Amino acid sequence: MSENQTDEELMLAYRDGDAGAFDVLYRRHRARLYRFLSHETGSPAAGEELYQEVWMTLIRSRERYVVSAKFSTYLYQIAHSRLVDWFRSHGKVRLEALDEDAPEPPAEACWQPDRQLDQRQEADRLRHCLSQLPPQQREAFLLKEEGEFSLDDIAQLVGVNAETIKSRIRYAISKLRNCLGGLLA
Amino acid sequence: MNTTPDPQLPHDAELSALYRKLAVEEPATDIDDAILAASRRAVGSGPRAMRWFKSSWTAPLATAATLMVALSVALLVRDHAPSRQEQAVTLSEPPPAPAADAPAPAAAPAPASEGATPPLAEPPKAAMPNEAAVAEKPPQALQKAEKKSAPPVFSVEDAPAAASKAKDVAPAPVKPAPVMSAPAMSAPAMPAADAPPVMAAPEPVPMRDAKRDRLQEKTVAESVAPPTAASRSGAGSGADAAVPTAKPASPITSERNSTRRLLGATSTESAVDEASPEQWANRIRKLINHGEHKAAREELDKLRKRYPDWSLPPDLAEFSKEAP
Repeated sequence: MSENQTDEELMLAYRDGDAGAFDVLYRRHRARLYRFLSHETGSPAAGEELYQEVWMTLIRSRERYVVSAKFSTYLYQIAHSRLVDWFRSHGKVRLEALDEDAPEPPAEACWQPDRQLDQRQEADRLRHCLSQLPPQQREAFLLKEEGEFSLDDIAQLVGVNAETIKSRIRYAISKLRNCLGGLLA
Repeated sequence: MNTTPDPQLPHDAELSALYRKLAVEEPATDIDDAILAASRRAVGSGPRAMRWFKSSWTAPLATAATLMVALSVALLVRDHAPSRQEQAVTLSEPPPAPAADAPAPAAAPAPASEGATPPLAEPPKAAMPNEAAVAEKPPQALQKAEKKSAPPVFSVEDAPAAASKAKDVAPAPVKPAPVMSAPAMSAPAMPAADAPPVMAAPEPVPMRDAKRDRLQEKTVAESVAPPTAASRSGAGSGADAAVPTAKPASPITSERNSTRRLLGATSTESAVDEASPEQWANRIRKLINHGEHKAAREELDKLRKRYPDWSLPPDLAEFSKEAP
């Protein structure tokens, strides 16, 4: 199985019974998908659970796979559906107020510039700031950063128009900068 | 995936760099292993399922084919079973009693493949009980016997007559005849007028294995003429009593009557010449039994001249001593 094959070719090969194709595909997307789910849920445990569910869903539905979009879109659509279910099952409301009306994170939760933190602490800080974002802003931001999707891809994946995605990302960036504070130059 | 962000998207390079620097979590190795194992199982299940499917339909197919073959064989065997049962029933009838006063080979029709010489020397005593038996047989059985085994019957009882008509008849039964085509056997040997029904009766025997045909011939021959103890004890008189009761329409019976007349009245030179002393003596006995003592003495004289060294049986010796 060639590493040069596209995701779609690999998935088709896996659909047709090539287990090696799945290995390549998995290596390409494992870390990004894991981080996306972990940051979306704000819990590594929940992220792991959803992560496995997404991949198992992909494995089970492999025979129905057809190339109608990018494979990554297909994969993250599964993840998005699992996230919606997960939020619903945990009583969390993702449909929050419009991004523009979202409250700013409390000041005490933001970065204290006088503290010297190592990288681990910085990573914790980033996770904390992400968790303070409204889920839809967080999802849009993570799809941009982890999924490296285009605007249209994100809009299609989430099911909203492109302008809404742009707005969500814009607000997410602003809030993160405010939260991370001194970590940024 | 895109390495450069979509220019349409809001982008903060510094934030993205920080995010990429800090967000380095990866799934645990055991999770990777579990997912990869699941993917292989899922893919493996396909071929396994296919193999199972193949094996699941090839095995029943093979079984079905085997059953079909077995069923075909069973049906064939069953088709042949009635004939075997018939043979068994026929063979279970009283076996032909050994002809005490006749050569053993002549009592039963020898298979053509074995008999180098046609059974020309069937003793009259053996033939006449056969007539009685035929007369006592139900018509159906008789017709059946005629159809199936006219040649053996004819060859046993009428061979002398046939020989008297045509000497070249003799080789006929010697034909390699597992099939023993009845017309081929009996056609030249028919005693003229009476014979045609017998000629027409036999159906062509399909070419089958020689063993079975021989068995059928033997069976039918026995069913036609099983010499019973009673008929044997009745000797000539019993047979004579039975002959008139035989249906005139029966070709075999009429044929035998003519043959018997031929034997009893005038044995031709050719027939006598070929007869052995014992057969000749039997014919003489038959003449005596018919009261044709004169003819019997003439035959006895001829026998003595032909076989001067042969010692007469006691009964014939006594008959020769009696005053004419």
